[in-house]
Amino acid sequence: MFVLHALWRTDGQLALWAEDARAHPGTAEPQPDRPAPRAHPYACPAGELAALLGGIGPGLGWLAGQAPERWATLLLPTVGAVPAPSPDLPVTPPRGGAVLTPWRVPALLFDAGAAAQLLGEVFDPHWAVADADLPGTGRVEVVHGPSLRWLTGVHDLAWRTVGRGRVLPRPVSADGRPQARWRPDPTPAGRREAAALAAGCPPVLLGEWPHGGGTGEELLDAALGALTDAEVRAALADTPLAPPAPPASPASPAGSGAAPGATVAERWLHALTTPDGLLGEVPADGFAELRRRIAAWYAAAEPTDPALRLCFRLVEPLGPDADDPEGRPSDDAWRLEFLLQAVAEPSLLIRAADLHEGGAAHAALARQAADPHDVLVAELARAAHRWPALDGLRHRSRPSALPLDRAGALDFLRTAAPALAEGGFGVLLPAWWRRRPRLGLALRVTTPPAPGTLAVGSQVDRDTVVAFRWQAALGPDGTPLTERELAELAAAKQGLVRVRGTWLEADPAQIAAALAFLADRRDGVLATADLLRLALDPQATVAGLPVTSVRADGPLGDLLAGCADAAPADAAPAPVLPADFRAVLRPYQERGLAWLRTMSGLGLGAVLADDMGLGKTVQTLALLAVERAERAEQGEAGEAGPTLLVCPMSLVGNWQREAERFAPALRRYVHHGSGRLDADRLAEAVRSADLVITTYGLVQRDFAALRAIRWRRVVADEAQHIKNTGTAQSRAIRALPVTGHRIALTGTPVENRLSELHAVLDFANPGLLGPAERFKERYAIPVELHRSPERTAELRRRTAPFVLRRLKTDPAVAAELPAKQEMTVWCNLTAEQAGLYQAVVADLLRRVEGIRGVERRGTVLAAIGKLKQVCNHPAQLLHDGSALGDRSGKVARLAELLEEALAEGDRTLVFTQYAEFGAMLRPYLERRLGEEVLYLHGGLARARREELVERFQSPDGPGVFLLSLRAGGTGLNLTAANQVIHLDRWWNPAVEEQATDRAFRIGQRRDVQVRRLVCVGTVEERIDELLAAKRSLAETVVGEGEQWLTDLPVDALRELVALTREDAVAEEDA
Amino acid sequence: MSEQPAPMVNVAAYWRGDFTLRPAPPEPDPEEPDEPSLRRLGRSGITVHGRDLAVLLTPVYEVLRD
Repeated sequence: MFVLHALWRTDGQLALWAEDARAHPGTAEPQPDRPAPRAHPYACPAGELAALLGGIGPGLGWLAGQAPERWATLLLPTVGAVPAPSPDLPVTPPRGGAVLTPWRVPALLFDAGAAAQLLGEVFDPHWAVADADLPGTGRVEVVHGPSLRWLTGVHDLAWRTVGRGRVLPRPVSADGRPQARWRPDPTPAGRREAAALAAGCPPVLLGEWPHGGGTGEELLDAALGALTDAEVRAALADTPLAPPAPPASPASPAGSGAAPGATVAERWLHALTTPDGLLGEVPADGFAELRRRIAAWYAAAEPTDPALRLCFRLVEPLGPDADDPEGRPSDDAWRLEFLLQAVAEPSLLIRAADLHEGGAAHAALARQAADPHDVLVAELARAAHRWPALDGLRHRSRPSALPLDRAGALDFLRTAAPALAEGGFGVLLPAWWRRRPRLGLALRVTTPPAPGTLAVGSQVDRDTVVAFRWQAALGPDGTPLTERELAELAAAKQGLVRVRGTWLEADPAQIAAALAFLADRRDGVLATADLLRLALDPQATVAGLPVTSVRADGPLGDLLAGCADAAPADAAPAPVLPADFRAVLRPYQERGLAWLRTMSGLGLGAVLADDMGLGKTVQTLALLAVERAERAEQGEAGEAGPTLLVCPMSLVGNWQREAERFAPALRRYVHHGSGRLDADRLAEAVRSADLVITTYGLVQRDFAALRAIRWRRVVADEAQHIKNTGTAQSRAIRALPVTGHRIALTGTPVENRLSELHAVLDFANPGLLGPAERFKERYAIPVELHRSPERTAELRRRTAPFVLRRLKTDPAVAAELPAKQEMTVWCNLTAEQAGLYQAVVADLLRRVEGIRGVERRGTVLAAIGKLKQVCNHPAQLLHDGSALGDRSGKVARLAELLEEALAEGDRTLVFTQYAEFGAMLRPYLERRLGEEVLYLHGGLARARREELVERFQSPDGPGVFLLSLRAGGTGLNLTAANQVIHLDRWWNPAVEEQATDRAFRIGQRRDVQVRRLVCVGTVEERIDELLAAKRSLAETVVGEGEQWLTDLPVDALRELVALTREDAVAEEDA
Repeated sequence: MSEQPAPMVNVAAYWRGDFTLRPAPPEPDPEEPDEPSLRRLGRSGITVHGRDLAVLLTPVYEVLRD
């Protein structure tokens, strides 16, 4: 009796051998001990085995006749010095324990094609015994051992898989040779069958010596693959896949049998039906490309079940390593977890391990798909086309995770994850990989500097030298590494490394560069200007490594950190104001002045973006006053040249007045109006000036004259005017030559789009944020459209040193502000207003000469009323219903103030004593602001008035409420407003106070800003001065109205009403 | 230092494993789509003499299932 055994060898061949019961030594003495592996003592000789097969049937006999005879070596249970017989051999087994020992057996070898035929021939699911006629012996029983039966089962599965067309052709490279192979693509039932076979594989099949030792899954995969390929080739023997041959090419590679000149794809296609499947010599890159494209094609197959999505989650090594004496986690124990996600319900994400356990997890997914297990396995097979490392799981019945070492984890992160994600699979990556911590260099600047260098004091300038120290650093935060950590990183050389609990991909070139750099140039000194260049350039590199952070202490540190408005104890001390500076700065204004001074010293452009009403003007004037005082101390040896202040036309008067009021020592020159100087005379006129005031319009119009002057500084007030970089005005102001630095003043650095911030910053520091297009790509789109927190943080980091913005609601600022802040806003007249004004004055003075008493009083009062109307708007005086247009400096300023207030989210009450003017203003302001403007006046019924008040007080009410002083000045509660504007002066301040108190009263939770609009050089200014100087007196003397004016003598009256200053008029038409 | 003794092995289990041969080719599962692998794939984008691989391979699957 014989027992047939099989071995699927690692070389892809089937080895068949047999035990012969007749040759079994029984209980005989063991043979002399020889070195292993020894010949099996009762294995059937190969020739006899061939005869035995022939005795079973002619088909097997023919196959055996073709098969070469070879020795095969395998591990067999051995008792003493004799191999233990297989359980089917009818001999008495030896007593004693068995151990595995290698034995050589004579075998017949069959290649995959022959093996497929043989296994198909002997397959019998019912009977494991056959009869054979053995020449010279007669009929003998031949038992099919389990190893042979198992392989017949694998072949049967391959045969059925091929018959259902569940195969896919693949380009593979084996032994360095490009080949075309057919791979099984089993149905879910086929997969389950394969998994069961793999799990039940007889261990003897894995005993090939010395190359065996694999798993049942691996053996099944190898045998099933080879047998499938053989069966397809057998089926296609008469169906060559040869497309029409192209014209012959002398350069065509030889050896495949394909047509000359064939492409790689064509040769591969041809090799799918040839016996050996070899392509011959083909270009390696062409073959690799074909593999990539075929894999992509298969991976793009429809998902197994559209209701479920396979996801992958990389899990870092966790928990103590059993092999580590200190119980630290192993760095190589990574796991790739598999999960299934319900497509329609993404939050339903179940780990495969939980799915296999059944219960609620399985039930939840079973509501989405008939068999979630099958989906998992099928999708893993589909994913394997994207990442071949998953191939090994093909025949696992309940795959839940793939163990990976560090190299495998890195391969997944770098190549598989993007490929799988592209294929529609879910990929959950560790957060640190998304951030990709990189090795870089961190710069630490310390003050005081090293001995022998200049000290950094309260004032920093671009020539100051500071001491530095470089350190290797990790990640976007620039966490410095100790020398030991860097050494550990260097020792790891490459791959994934854990440093301070954070994983990163070590780059040997970067590590080497960091070590070399630090060995040579770790410490030293450098100029502040160089330091700033490093700190402010996000792309800065040193020795090929990114500069991850620059940190400094003192004022420089505050500046870099964007903490210029730090607590007074930490901030740079404010410069001492000259004695003749006539304002006491609030603490936050002192900090603003110190910041402007620091920026000026460093030659860095500054954007002072305080809220309206916080004193941008006074801070700027204080800076100029301090610099002038310093130059005076230095005997004019300081850095000279005037500051050019560019503002909207409506603000010229305001700047003049504020400069006069706060910094009288500043030498001012206003380049404005029809009588302005030509280029030569302008240059002469500004030579000794500290401050030159002009308008945006004139910068463009008189560009040639202004360009010829070397400006120490250019200040752009209301810098939102230059946010459109394409305008000629904007281009002109940017092109002015500046030796010192630039300042942009704006209460609304970003009104609508981030590009406006770029425009303002680019004026202050040309080129700092790169071109507008790149800024848009890097920041505007990610921040505005995608709300990217990373880019938002980066933008803040890059811009913070250059922008000082305080809100009136900032607690630190609010604490320094009075609850009610009162300001005079100076306005200019237009030429039209000035002409009308002078005509009214002339008429008045002519008429009062000869009249007295009631008539005189009436004439004076009427004329003053007309002058106030002119100051408001020409149309109010003329009563002609003409358009408001750009005819009034006051209305222009009002519109600007309201725009700024709306941008800051403030709500404003606007009072006028003229109901007619209010009626004219309302439609104009609605058009200009693009918002509804409420208007309350005496002509409205009470119910309507109450309705308006209610609307304004509601949380989403309109931002502007226009009121006539008489109708709205008393009684109402309008605490929704935190801004009050008095358009025209009422001679009795108590009336204004009462109106202001509509907002500034119980129930008001915010500070209130009150502005009085006053036209420069007009009766409004004179009355304002009088009221300001003699406020208490005025309250008693002036009384309720304007009666006191009417009794003034003519000279006093002339002084009161005359248009006394040239600069009262703002007109650029000339 | 003595060599570790080889582990004992269960002779019957080593030879037999744990599997069952199917008595007959199973009928296709009616719940399971009976379609060749090629059908779940679209065009490959890989052409040989102007014809897509998917087209060129179609006859193969007909032969296999015949």
